[in-house]
Amino acid sequence: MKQKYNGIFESNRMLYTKSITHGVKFFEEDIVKENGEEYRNFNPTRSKLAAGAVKGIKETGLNEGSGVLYLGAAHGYTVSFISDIVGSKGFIFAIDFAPRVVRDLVFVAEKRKNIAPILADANRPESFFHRIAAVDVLYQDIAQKNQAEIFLKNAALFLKKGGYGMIAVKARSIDVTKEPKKIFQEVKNEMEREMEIVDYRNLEPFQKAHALFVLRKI
Amino acid sequence: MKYIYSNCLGSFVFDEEFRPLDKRMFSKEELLKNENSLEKNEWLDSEREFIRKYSGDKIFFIGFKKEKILNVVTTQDPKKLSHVSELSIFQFEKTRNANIIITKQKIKESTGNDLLAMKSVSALDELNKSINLLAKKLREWYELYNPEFSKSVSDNERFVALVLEKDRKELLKGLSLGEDESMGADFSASDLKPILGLARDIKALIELKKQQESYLESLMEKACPNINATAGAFIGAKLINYAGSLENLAMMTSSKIQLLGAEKALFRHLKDRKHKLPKYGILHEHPFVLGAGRETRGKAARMISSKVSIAAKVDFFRGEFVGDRLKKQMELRK
Repeated sequence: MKQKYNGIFESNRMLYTKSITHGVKFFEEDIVKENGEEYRNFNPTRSKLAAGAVKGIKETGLNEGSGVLYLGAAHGYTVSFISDIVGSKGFIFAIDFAPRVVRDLVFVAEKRKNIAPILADANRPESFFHRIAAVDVLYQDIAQKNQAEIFLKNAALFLKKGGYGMIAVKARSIDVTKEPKKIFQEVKNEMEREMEIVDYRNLEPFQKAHALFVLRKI
Repeated sequence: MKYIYSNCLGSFVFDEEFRPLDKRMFSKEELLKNENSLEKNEWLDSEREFIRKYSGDKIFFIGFKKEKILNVVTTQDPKKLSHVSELSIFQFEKTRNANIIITKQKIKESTGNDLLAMKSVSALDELNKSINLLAKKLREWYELYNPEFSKSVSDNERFVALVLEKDRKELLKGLSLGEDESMGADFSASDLKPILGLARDIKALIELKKQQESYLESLMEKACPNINATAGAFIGAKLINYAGSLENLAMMTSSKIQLLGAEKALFRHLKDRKHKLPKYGILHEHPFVLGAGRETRGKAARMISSKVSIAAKVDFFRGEFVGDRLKKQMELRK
């Protein structure tokens, strides 16, 4: 097992994170035991963060002890791996809009002391600001037409200065008829107005018409 | 000058250097009550108390509030918000516990009658598919024994009932055939037993389906009487299922409702205008659409969806029953 990026390990061309909950599986992931540690397999077809790492995204701002705001947490797959990366001193506010998936998220959060599950609308930060604190990293994976606006709104309010942001952009949610390349360029222009672009990757072949942007709050 | 701020754990007062001066932590009972107010940006009792207590000073409230209180300035300045949120969250553990309690309560409250209808119609769909599939297998198997009878009854429910009620001799007699004239093989009792066992279980599934149907009908009548009157219980519940919730359906335009279920064809058309725009989705199953001639099907679907759209709004906002009036309008337009 070799450390590839911060908190992300590699073995046999597969990605792993070091588990903070030994002996517990969350999503039927493969577990590798080495030197008294357990490593959970991080699948790039199931997580856009993993796909980004495979495509070469090195700097994400995620470190041990980071505070994270995750918009669009869904069932908690990627959340569980970020939870490994930031470790027991870090924390994640995991937000999603649909009760059905947040129910699964609660089950994950109950087994991991660094995740707080929140049922709220990311488009309305005034409805959940009282449940969270300012964070070092903002991660967003939301399939909505105004996803760029949602990201910038939350980054302005909750991301610390110098903090990192990651947004997984789904071109089809923004406009199903336009060419993805055009949409990504428009999103890039919108982001550049308020944040510095650190990295950008197209997530093919793991996701169709998706891109992951890494940004920094100036 | 004083800063006042509240989060899900309590209300806090700071001086102009953000040094903590005062705090009021919420009890477990207050947690959920205050969460309601905080989510809606309403003033909390604890906040009003602090405003009264420090009324001599200039007060800045950090957060979002709908109403203004005299002499209190509200600010959402991210730097200040960041500062106080960090100071008041203490250990993450406390805010995590509060969040879990709040989230569990919100999930509990999210189940409504429309969700029940969605799950019920979904299960019914699967039941129907399973019954038809199993009945087909039963026929194929039974036909080795009595093909003439299977061919004579096309309705699955009748087929299953009669196979269990009467023996082969009786069934063939009804077709004016003797057992020696049939192409079916002679089965021993032990070979016949599993076939009849399968028939028995299919019959039980058909009974279950009827119970589910009547449950769905009474549920839709109670929860969405107007949608029930215009689209029927089954199609109505399917529409809600496609929309995701009654609220979503109520907020849709009637043209969207018209095409619920035809997404594949719709996006195919949007990407390449050479493909035809679909005229209906699930509404295709509505008796008015099925009954209309090929030329008028599109008009029928459009008319029904406009009535359903009104019905959904009335149901969601819980208005009086206009379903019969809407239904009459539909009958006239037919």
